[in-house]
This record gives sequence, structure tokens and C-alpha cells, in this order.
Amino acid sequence: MNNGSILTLDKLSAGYGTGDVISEVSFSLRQDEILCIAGQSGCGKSTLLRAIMGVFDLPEITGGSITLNGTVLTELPKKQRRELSTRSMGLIFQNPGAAFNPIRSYEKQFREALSGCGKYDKSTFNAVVEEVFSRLGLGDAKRILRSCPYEMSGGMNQRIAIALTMLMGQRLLLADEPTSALDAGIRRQVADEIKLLRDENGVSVIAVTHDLALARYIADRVAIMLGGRIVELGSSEDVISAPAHPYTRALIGAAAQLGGSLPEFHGADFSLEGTLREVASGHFVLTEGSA
Amino acid sequence: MIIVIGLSFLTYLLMYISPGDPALKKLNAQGITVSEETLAEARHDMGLDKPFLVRYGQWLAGALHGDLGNSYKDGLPVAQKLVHALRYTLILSSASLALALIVAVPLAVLTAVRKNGVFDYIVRFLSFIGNSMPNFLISVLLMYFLCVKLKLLPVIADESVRGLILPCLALSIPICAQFIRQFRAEILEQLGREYVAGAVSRGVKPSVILFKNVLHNAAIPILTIIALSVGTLLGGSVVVETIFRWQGLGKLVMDAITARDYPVIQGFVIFTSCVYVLINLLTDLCYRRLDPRIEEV
Repeated sequence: MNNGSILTLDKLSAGYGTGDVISEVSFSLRQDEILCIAGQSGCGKSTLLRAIMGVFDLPEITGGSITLNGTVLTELPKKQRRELSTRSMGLIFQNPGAAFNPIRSYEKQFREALSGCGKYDKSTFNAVVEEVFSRLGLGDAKRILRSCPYEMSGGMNQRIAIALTMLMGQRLLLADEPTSALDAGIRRQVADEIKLLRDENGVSVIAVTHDLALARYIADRVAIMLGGRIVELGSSEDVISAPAHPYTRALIGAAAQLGGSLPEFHGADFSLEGTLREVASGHFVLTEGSA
Repeated sequence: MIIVIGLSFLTYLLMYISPGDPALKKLNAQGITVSEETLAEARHDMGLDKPFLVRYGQWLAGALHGDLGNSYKDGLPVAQKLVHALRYTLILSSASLALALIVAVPLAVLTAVRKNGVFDYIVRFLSFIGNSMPNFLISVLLMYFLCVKLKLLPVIADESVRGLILPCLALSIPICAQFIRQFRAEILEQLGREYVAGAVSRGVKPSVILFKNVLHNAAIPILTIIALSVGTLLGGSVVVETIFRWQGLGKLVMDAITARDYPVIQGFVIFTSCVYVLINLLTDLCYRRLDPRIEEV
């Protein structure tokens, strides 16, 4: 879609075998950009992330394409796609402790992950980990490496997952509700670390969230999803301060009343027909009729 | 220890209130014409004329010093008979368990990894059959085909390796079928956990995910299943040992029950409960080794 983009989705549709959960999703993600995708539960945000990651059996891509740094991922054989995805993309889960084996030490899991992407060097492992941990202010690297995930708090596990993304040198981070399971105090810290990852490592981020405050805080651009489609996409300032789609306006109005979390709306309340049209520079809104 | 003493009391009580006179059985077995006097004399010699609590107290005092009394049937020390039978049971149990594990572990892993494939369906069907057939039916079928039809093996097991094959197979087949189903379920449960998705998304090699993470975590419930089977096997398999005339604990206790040989039955119960307590203890120690969270609890 845009030149200089790291990732481009073109009319991507995907589902779990019983109809599409996401439908004709298109956007581009620029290098060093943080894109937040907001929407209520079940709108297809997590499915979108998993479809982009492409290492799981499901969801199955039913149409459209994903292009990563010029390579069309959806045209690659499965094995090659997985190798390229895991080398280039990191995935952070909503439940911070669950993404790691709870009873296996971080040291072993870090070694396994780094070996998998060919970046494990026994002689420099400890020094590299210590350097990344100190940049994130994580404290005693040796003690953390010896620990198992079950011994850590949710926030700490999430920060360690971010540290691993840094260590693996992945250029794209996909974060699935990265702060929703955390205490209010630690949310800001994790959000700052995601920004740090972008600022210092040039990592691009797609974060799906319920939390419009988080989106406003970290995102360069925000996309609003409803019923598996993007209904509005633009800079966080445009989308959150001057929403153009009725669903976005309803969401932002209701979220402000309810203290930041998104209320439930029915897809039938809003039309999902039409295409994304640019209503102002870089501000796209789903409007009925052909483009 | 309290569990073992409690069990011994219960067993002693059950044998006390159960019908049948061991003295009469013994005299009948020796071909002696039983008069009132000889029966009373035999009862006195065997200590059966004493009150229940006195008899139990005497037995318990002896048991705590390693003396489990003498068999009513042949007068041999019960401990000696148990040790002799235990040797056979250990051979049969370890061979059966080893065979079941050698077959079940790889099949469970393969069927879990290739869930709902042709191989999975075949193995699940066979394990369902194996799990549904009682020991005596498997024993009879094995005897019919391998001994009567093909004449490959002896009907009555001797101490040789050939003699071990049939009782070992008869014990292994249902255990193996049960292991496959339960191990597969445990592995599938682990494969569905989010940490597996996390490892996949980080590009960890599938073999590392399977062998170092999934199997390690599944080992805890699997260990419980194995421990239960070990307890049952070491308690002796009454049916299989009796059918193949294997001189293990199962056959020993079956003969003792038939002859109302109470000291042997009592010794067997004590031994079996000690085995269960010991296995539970070992299993708990293994849990702590496998899962550090248990150590902290």
C-alpha cells in the first residue's frame, strides 16, 4: 500500500473453518510505527494478530495477502513461512505468564528461543542478556534467568517477554492485549517498554487492546475494528479526538463514561458494508458504496 | 505407619468374623479324622482359642519385630514365603511394566502429535480393545493361540524367559492399552496450553517443545498413572499368576485364601500396604523433582 512499509495487509480474510472472522482487512505498517487496533471482544483483533503471525494451524487465511518486507508471506510454503515469521515477528500474549512454560527456567527457555532463530551464542549469552535486562531496568539478570515464570508477577513476565523480543532482534512485535491482565501501576511501565522497543530498536508494533488510554499513549496510528472489519484507521489524534465513524464515536463516548474500557456493541447496530475511504490525509473511514 | 497398623487391624478383624475354621481346614487337608478333641487341640496349638484382641496384639508385637507368624498350611514362616513369592512377582511386574512403557510411551506421543490421523485412529481402536478385555480373557486367548495352536510357548510358566513371556504379555496388554489412552490425553492437554503456542511463536524447534517442555510437564500426571500400576503389579496379579501357575504373590495369596491361611493373608496385606505407602512416598519425591511449585507448597 505504502512505500517504506514493513508490513502490508491487502484484503486479508481469515477464519476458523466456519466463516471468516476477519474480512478484507487492509493496512500498512511503517518502520518504527506503533499501530493499535481497538475494538470490543470478539471483533477479530486477536484472530488478526494470529493470522499475521501465521505459525499456528488456525486461523486459516481465506483471502488476501500479507507482505513482510517485500516478501508475500501468504504465498510461501508453510515451513518457510513459519521460519520467516518467527525470525521477524515476536508475539506477546494477553496472559503474561502463560506464554512461557511455567516450570522451566527462563535461562533454558531463552536458550531454546535463541537457538531456534540461530542467535544463540554460548560465550556471549549472559553478557547480552544482562545488557538487555539493564536497558529495561529489570534488575539481577542471573537471578531472573535462574527463575521460572511461575515465580514472577504478571508484569515481570510481560517485561521479560519484551526483553526476549529485543534479544531475538525481531523487527515486528505483535502484542495481544499486552497490559489488560496487569495492575494499573505496571501498565505504564510495560507501555513505556513497548515504546522503548520502538525508539531504541526500531521495532514496529501492532498492539490490540481494549484500552483506548493505552492506544492514545503509545500509538502513532489507531485502527478501530468491528465485526472483523476495520471501520476507521488514522493517526491516534484523528481517530480518538475527531472520530469519523459512528461506531468509533459511540465507543469513545461510552469508554469515557465507563472509565476507559470498551463497552459491547452489536455489529448489527452499524453498517459493515462498503470500503475504507480516505476522508482526510491518512484518515480512513469505512463508508458505504465502492471506492 | 498408622495407615499400615490400621489396615492390619481391619484385615485381622475381617478374617476373625469371616466364616470357616482354619484349624478344621488344616486337619482336613492333612487327611486327619476330626474329632472334637483333635479340633480343640489344633485350635489351641494355632492360638485360635484366645480372645481376638490378645491374638491381634501378639501378632502385631511379632510383626513389629519382623515376625509375621507361620503359615497354617505348611508351618513355614510367612516372611520367608512372602520373600520367595516376591522374587517372582518382581520379575513379572518389572518385565510387564517395562514392556508396557516401551510400547505405550512412543505410541502415545505419536498419536498425540498426529491427532485424528489414520495412525491415531488405529492405535486408539486397538487400545480401546486392549483396555476392555479382562486379564483372564487375554490369558486364555494367548494360551490358545501361542500354546495350543502354534505350540510356541509352554502353558505352565517355568522360571525361564520363555515361561515369562505369556504371563508378561497377559499383564502388559491391558496396562499398555490404558497407558496409551491416558498418556495421550495428558500430552494433548499439554499441547493445548498457551506456553506451547508461545514457544511455537518464538520459533523453538518442535522437538525441543515436545521433549523438553511438553513431555516434562506431562510427566507429572503420567507418573501418577504409572505409580498406581506399579502398586497393583507388585501386589501380585491374582488372575494371571493363578492361570499361568506363576509362583508370585498373587498366587500365594489366592492359595492362602482358599486354605484360610490367615497369617499369610495378613502378611500379604501388610506387605501390600507397605508397598503402596512406599510408592506414594517415592512418587511425592519425584513430583517435587519434576515440578518446583510442589516444593514450595
